[in-house]
Amino acid sequence: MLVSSQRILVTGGAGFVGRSIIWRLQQTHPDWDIFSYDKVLPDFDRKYNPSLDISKVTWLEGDITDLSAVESALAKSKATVVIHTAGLVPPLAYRYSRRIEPTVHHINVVGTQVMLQASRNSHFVQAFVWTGSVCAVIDDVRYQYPCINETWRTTSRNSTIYGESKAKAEVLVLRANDPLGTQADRRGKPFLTTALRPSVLFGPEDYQLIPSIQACIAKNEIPYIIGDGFNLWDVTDVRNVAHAHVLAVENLLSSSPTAAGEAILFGNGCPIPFRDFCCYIWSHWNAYPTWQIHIPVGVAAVIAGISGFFSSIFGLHTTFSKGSVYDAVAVRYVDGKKAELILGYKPIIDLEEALHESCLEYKKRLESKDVDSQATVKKVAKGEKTTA
Amino acid sequence: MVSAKHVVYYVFHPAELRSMVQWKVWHDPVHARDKDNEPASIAKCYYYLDKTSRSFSFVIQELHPELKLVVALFYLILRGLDTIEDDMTIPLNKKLPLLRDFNTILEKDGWNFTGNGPTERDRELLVNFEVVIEEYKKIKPAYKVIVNDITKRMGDGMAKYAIFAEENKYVESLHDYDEYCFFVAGILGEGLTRLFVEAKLGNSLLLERSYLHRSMGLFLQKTNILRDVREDFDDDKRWWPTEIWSKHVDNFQDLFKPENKQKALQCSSEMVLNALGHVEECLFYLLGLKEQSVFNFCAIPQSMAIATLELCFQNYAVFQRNVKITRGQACQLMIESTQDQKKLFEIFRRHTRRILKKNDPRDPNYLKISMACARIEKFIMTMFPENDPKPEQKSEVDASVSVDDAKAIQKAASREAQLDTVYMAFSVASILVFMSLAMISIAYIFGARFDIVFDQLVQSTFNPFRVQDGAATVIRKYDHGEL
Repeated sequence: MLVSSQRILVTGGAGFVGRSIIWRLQQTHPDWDIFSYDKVLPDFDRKYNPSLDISKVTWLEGDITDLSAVESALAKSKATVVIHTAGLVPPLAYRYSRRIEPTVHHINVVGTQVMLQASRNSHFVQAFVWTGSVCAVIDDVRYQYPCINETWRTTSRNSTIYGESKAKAEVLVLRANDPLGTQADRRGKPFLTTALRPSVLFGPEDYQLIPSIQACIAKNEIPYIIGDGFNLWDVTDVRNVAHAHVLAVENLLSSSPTAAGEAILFGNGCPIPFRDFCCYIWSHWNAYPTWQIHIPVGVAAVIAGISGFFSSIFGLHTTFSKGSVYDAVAVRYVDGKKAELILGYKPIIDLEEALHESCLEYKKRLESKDVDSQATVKKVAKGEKTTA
Repeated sequence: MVSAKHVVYYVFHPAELRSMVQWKVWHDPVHARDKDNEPASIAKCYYYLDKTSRSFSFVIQELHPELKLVVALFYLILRGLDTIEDDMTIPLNKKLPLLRDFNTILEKDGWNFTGNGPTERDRELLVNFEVVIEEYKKIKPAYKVIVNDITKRMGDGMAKYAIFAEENKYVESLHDYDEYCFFVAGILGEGLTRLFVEAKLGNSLLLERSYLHRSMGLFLQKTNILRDVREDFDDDKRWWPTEIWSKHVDNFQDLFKPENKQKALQCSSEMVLNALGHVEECLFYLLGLKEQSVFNFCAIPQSMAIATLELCFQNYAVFQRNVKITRGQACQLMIESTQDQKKLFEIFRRHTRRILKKNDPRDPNYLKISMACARIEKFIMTMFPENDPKPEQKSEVDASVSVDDAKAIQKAASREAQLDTVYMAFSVASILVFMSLAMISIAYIFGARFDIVFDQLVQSTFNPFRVQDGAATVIRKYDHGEL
């Protein structure tokens, strides 16, 4: 479809989403040169997705918030396309507080600003695909979000630190879209940008969503249903997210780049009741609720408030908080028509298959004690402090 | 007719009783039959309609005048065909030509059929079939073509499955299953849609997208097949496709053995899942109907079907007897589904949510069922958005985002840190209060005499008018002497 071979720079290529994007690029465009720009290198000894060939990727090390480092990486790779996917998703324990807001802002907003500036100044880059998040819209817990489309506004207030940072960065990305090449020093060379907003991510090698839901089993939390249990959610397998990124790149490089300057929401094609999503995960550990109690949202919020209060005394960061109560009862799913229309996006992996595989992978990981979920959370939290 | 069981049931379900009364008293037909100016021959047709169909008769009689009689005749003709097919006393060599040529029979004046067994339910209709033929010949040619064509195809299909049964063949694949359902119900959906469009009472798009009316028929038929499994099994019939039941048991009969209860339930869940796949298309079809009486005609059976499907889901009684929604529920459904699409979709949402609630995580199709229900809910939400995009459309994002924002944010974070200190102090204080209360009450339980302590306090240093009495006096005052 595309005649010329491309050089793609993926930021955060060693991370969960980045690896998946590289995998998908290798699958669909084996002739493209792929560069990763990340703070860390992948663990070359670890077995990732077997069809991902990490040896064929040029791994560059650097910080996305360091303009000169980014510029030199772009010069070195001569990248024609930048997929900016590096970002910080606060661990669950930090999701609802403002404790690490400066870090999140620095990485997600300033980092994007720097990446945009460097890419625009480079003479090679034509397309810039950015990984946003549906959180830019849905993290304001005062509302419900059934079947939302792109006319719903994003919000940088009353949301979570993550959602706010994504909303702010998105404005920067979309504003940088420059089809005529009049901005900066482009001299008529177009600079096209797209913001993709996937819904909540999971997938094999996921260290956040499935582990934290699985952890409810040990805490005996599975019989409790907060709210009516019918609230629908969207979750997206990381491979589908990668697929959408590749489609966006192809779109921006095509003769009719309809995705340029657009924010696009997408999910895994089908919403699912949050409760059922959890039950399905638990069933992989043979954990079934033998009895169930419905807890009204208000009561749960009060309990969470009290428990949050006591855990703050003991200096613990609990996952059960008022924020997580509202998350659990929220209605949040996307309509997804725009992604289908503009990108021709259709999930390459079905939700059930994806969840099943992801659970099996996590089970294997737990058995091999490869990764202790608690340790990861700590590590991530600590890592952020050092960057700040 | 009204048994004690029913009385007890409705005493405990007054809402259903209310629905029944409400339906009987308040229901106002969209187009009532003009009984006074009706020729006797037409009245005769409606008489048989009443006799052969309990549920369909009244909706047909309320249809738009243009189609009322046509659909009534259509129904009677297919009922006649069905009565021949159902009758096991008619030998196959006699049955097949009747089924296949039923469309030409329709043109024969005065034809009737007395070959049915005496116990056949609708025998009387065929014995007096000439009244149907007489009226059929008078309807508009355009309608006649449609009725004739559908009768022919349905007759051929029935003949096919009569041979099928004779050769002890069963529905094997999902494809066979859909095909069977199409022959016995899907074609009817096609015929009715053609009539609606011909009469300009339905959107012609409904015909172009043939999968829509096909789904209407298939959903009804699949629900019936699911519900009637026990009855059919007792009659030595089997419509559940092998492709589904063989995943759960080795022999179809095993489904009915009490020791296989779990497997039988899982098998029926998969049947429910298969039927749920048609719901979105049914809802889409129903959106295309603008004329109220046609809408009612189509909507009532559909809402009954989703209610029945929900009733059968995770319900072992399906394998023991014929389960049915109650009269009261039926009236409730009829009231709700004869209003508008939104109200009708509300019924669908209610029942899919009940299916979700009954869904069992141990079921191999747990997530698939969950997703099927979620899809239906999403579809309903797309058609009738509940809360539109929030009132203020403009983005709340502050466009002047700059790197300097970091400073402001830093400030906010430090404010939060300050708040943390306040919380900390408060929590330490409350813990102290809590602990002392706990200690005091434990002491009290173990017999500490706080009354004495209190009294001592009052009597001692704090009280200027204290009485100089020793503790012994106080104890004497409060305690009884040895009994």
